[in-house]
Amino acid sequence: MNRVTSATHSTRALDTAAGGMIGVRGLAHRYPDGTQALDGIDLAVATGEAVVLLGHNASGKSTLLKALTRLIEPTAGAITLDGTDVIAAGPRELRDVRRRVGTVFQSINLVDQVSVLSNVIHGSLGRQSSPRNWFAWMAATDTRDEAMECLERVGLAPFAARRADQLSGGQRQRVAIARVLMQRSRIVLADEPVAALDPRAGREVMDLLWRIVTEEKLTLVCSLHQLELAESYGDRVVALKNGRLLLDGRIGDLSRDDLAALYTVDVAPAGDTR
Amino acid sequence: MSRLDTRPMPAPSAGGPRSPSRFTRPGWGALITVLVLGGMAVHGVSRLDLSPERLLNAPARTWDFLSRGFPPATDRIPNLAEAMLETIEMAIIGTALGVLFSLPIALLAARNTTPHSWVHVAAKSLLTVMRSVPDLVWAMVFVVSVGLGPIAGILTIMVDTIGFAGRFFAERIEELDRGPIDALRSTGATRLSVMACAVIPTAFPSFTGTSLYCLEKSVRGAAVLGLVGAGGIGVELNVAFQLRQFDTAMTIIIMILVVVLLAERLSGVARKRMLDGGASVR
Repeated sequence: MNRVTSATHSTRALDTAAGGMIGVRGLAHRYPDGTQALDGIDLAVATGEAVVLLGHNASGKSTLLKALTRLIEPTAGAITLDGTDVIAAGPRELRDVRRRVGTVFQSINLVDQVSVLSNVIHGSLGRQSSPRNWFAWMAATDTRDEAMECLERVGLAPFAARRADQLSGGQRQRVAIARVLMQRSRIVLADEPVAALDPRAGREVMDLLWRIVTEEKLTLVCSLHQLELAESYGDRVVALKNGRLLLDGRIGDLSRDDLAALYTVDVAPAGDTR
Repeated sequence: MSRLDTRPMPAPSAGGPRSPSRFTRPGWGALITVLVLGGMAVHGVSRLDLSPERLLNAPARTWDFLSRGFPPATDRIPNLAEAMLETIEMAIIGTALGVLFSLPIALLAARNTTPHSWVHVAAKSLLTVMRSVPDLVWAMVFVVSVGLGPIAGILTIMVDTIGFAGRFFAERIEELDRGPIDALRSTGATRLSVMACAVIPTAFPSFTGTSLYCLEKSVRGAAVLGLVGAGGIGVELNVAFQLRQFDTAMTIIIMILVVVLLAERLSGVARKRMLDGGASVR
């Protein structure tokens, strides 16, 4: 696998300018406590490509995914999503960008106090901000029908009337995927979508996400910890370490040395108390 | 791989670190505060006109009130029931309006939902003013504004509820898990939709508990608002004391006690059922 160099950065960034789905150049984020979570990230993702983000905890994967739609405000850099300059976008334009990007979160993030159907209908709020879409009982019949179709696709139509907190972790993540379907997005950002699930439920959720991504020809950026999942559900691996891009290439090219470099913790030499 | 350090721990030596002293001298600020408070207490007692005669007569006067209060004037219950009903209605209407208005103010006051830091400061200050002025003072203000009667009482309860519920609602909103809020923001939903679909439903069980507690507090408060002419059973209580009709006063006190205890009990049961069953906005 190729170690990332400044040459590969600029080549890919130019590819994005020529019509890629996601383009990131020099992206940085520093938390208020001074932690440099992202440091000069350059990334380009083509339309329909499935990219797996790898890296140990606190390597910057979640921050990168949140920064792409400015759920976290980057401190430097440029982002282009589906042809829109995200950094320069005003509030209305930013909402329009977010509408085109479905996000699946590690902590699932459903609204527990409302029904499963209401949660799925919330996916349509970006394109139809009418108060009728706030709750399932107020929604128009065609909106409810579309949400039921999304639930049917994730195999949860019989659970539509249940409260979201009455479902298992795997079912809740499938509802979150139905919400992304309802959003009619072109890009899916998945932040460790199976981290909170047992291996079997995790595999089911990844199968479902992959099926939807391939059927809808969506662009996927998915952060994962499990290498075997990365091999099954991605075209390309991008690895982060300490907020910097470490590796970028095809999954089959990932070597033992690459993994060792990725997951080796930098330990200060004995006696070094810095 | 790191090796375990198997060397024995060194024994504590006589010349080891000294433990901190048990007592420390209070700072000048604390000393001055205690002296000022103590001085005010002594001054206050000297102004009380406490005489042995007054203290010795107190038990006899209390006994006079109790002996003339019992048996209570049960024949007045039908007339008093109407005033009691008015008190309960004042509490319900005032609390409902208060909760309704406190919600938008809380959204403006909470740091994570306010549109601007100035709005946050203004909304918080408004809540502080509403909460800090005692309800009897608000009642006197509203009696001047809208005249004697239950409208002044309803407005008083509303303002008191806004001050109390608004603060607790805002604090709850600030403590909310950001997850569902971020999930809704990530769909491109407007700020209003995020509040309606994520913030309010997530905080709803807590809002319900606080609102029921406000109702309970309002029933208790409404019973005495009549003392300053703001409607309800307090008007009757005031008249009964002024005319020294202690049997009627005792009847009113028992009625207030029963209603307040009943309101507390009902609110406790409702709160438990809603919170245990998971209050929902489906």
